[in-house]
Amino acid sequence: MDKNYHKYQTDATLLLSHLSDKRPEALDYILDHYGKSVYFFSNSILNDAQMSEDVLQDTFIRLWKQNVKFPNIGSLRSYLYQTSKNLCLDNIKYSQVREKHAFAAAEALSENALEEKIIEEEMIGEIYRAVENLPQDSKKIFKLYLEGKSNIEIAEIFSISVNTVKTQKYRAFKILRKKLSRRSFLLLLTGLHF
Amino acid sequence: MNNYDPVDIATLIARMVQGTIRPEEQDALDRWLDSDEANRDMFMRITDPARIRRQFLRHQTYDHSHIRERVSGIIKGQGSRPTVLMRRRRLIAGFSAAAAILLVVTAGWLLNVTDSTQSPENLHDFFPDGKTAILETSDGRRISLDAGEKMSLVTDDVMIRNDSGGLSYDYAKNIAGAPLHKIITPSGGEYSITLSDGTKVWLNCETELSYPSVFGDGDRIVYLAGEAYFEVAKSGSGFEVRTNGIILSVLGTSFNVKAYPDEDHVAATLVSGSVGVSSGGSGQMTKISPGEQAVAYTGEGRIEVSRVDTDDYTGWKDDLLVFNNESMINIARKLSRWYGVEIEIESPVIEVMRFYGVMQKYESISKILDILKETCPIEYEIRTDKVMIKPR
Repeated sequence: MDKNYHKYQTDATLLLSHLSDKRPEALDYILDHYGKSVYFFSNSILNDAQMSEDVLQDTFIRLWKQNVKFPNIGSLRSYLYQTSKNLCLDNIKYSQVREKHAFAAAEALSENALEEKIIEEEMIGEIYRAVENLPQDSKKIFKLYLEGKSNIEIAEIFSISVNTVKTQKYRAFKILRKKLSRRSFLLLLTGLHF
Repeated sequence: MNNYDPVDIATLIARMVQGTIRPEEQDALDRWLDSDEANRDMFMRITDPARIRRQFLRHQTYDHSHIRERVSGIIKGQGSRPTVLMRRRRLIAGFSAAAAILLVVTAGWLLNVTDSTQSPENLHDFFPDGKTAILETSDGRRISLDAGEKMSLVTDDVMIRNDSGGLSYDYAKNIAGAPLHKIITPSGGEYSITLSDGTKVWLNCETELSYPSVFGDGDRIVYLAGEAYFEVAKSGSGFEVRTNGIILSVLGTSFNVKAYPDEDHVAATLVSGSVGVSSGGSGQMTKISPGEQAVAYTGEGRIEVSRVDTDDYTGWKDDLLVFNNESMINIARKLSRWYGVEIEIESPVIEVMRFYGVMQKYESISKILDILKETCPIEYEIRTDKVMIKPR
């Protein structure tokens, strides 16, 4: 893999300038990090895996060919959604998918519904990318879970009690649920004086 | 939704979910939420934990590498669009139990990772258990309650349901002599319950409330040990909270009662309506008005009334820990109940230090103590079985 690939993670300017210089590794990087979001966004509209993969492919071909100058990653991300959205809508217009959507079309393809799909997919994408970008040590722990290691095995590897593993898992999830609740918007006055 | 870039909004929500959002970003997100009811609805939909879990797993299992090959083939001019037949169809793995566990871990781990100051000993951090309690029915059955687990049962002449809003007794006509039920919250737990007359009660941690499954014709009487916030439904009959020899007599009213058995007093804080406080023996009743607090010293018959900021005493119901000029020994007592861990203060000088602060109570105990540390000259150490607070 190209050495720049790792630099892109911390240097968005480099990534964008390499993209406009048409360096393939920049496109690879963008596809690896944002491609899944584009795919799932498209699939939420088209409800068809193969067509969604076509849209994913065509979105990136357009990105490559169109020479758009992006001031930042945010505008690149917006571009990917706008482009894939247009491709999806074209697809619906000109294909048999239309029938699938005969009833739900008006509702599902309203501006608001599409915007919600963008927000949802991009939110998941951001969380997913955060996990992918974790430091090496944390990733190691994660890999162990991926490999199906039990609580006991993980506890042994990290020299902590099984109970600690269990409660950490359970409680952390509860905390996450809390974080999602409406109440969590109550202002956090971290400190001090009223 | 107008005037907002969806990608920016998505970023803010993702950061909030991960706990990495900065205050000014939270403000921006709040503005977006407040600007349109539809935004709020959408927010609730897409941040549903089960939904996030599902979506995340789809991301995890979808392999896009064949698309990368196709794209790089095309841009290098070495290939053309493959036909449908050449395409491999990727199966998106279904949701499995193993995968669910994986995500629980991911979630916990996202949260941990966001804290750059986390040191190895914080593996022994403590968290509250949250919305959990035990219901005891008249036949001695003990039922574990967890908000979010849907459950319903019919017992003792009443239909009882449990869902994310807590436990709820269906409205029932008065029946004389209905048996008592009891709901108990553990350390680190809290719960809310709607009684058969429509009265709503929030129970703080380490609290027990006994009440008839269906109220009778006379006064409605419940028994409390611990802390609870009441919103009493108006009806023809009075409502009484009995606790530690103190009786609170109310009509339609909202008020907080703190009556832990290990404390020498009962504190009733009135938000609205009116409450009469009487000490069991004397029979004399002291009335308080909204914004007032009555502190009745158990065993002494003495009752003191003062004006207070009621939010200080009801904040726990809104997921806050509120300390307003509170001594460290009281803070330690509250934290000990809420995090279910023993707290030892190593110096009497620290015990009497006073502190102001409002914190979110679903943070870990280390987060709370870090904030205390900023204004008090203390250090803390979290061990497997207890928390030590020492002078700095």
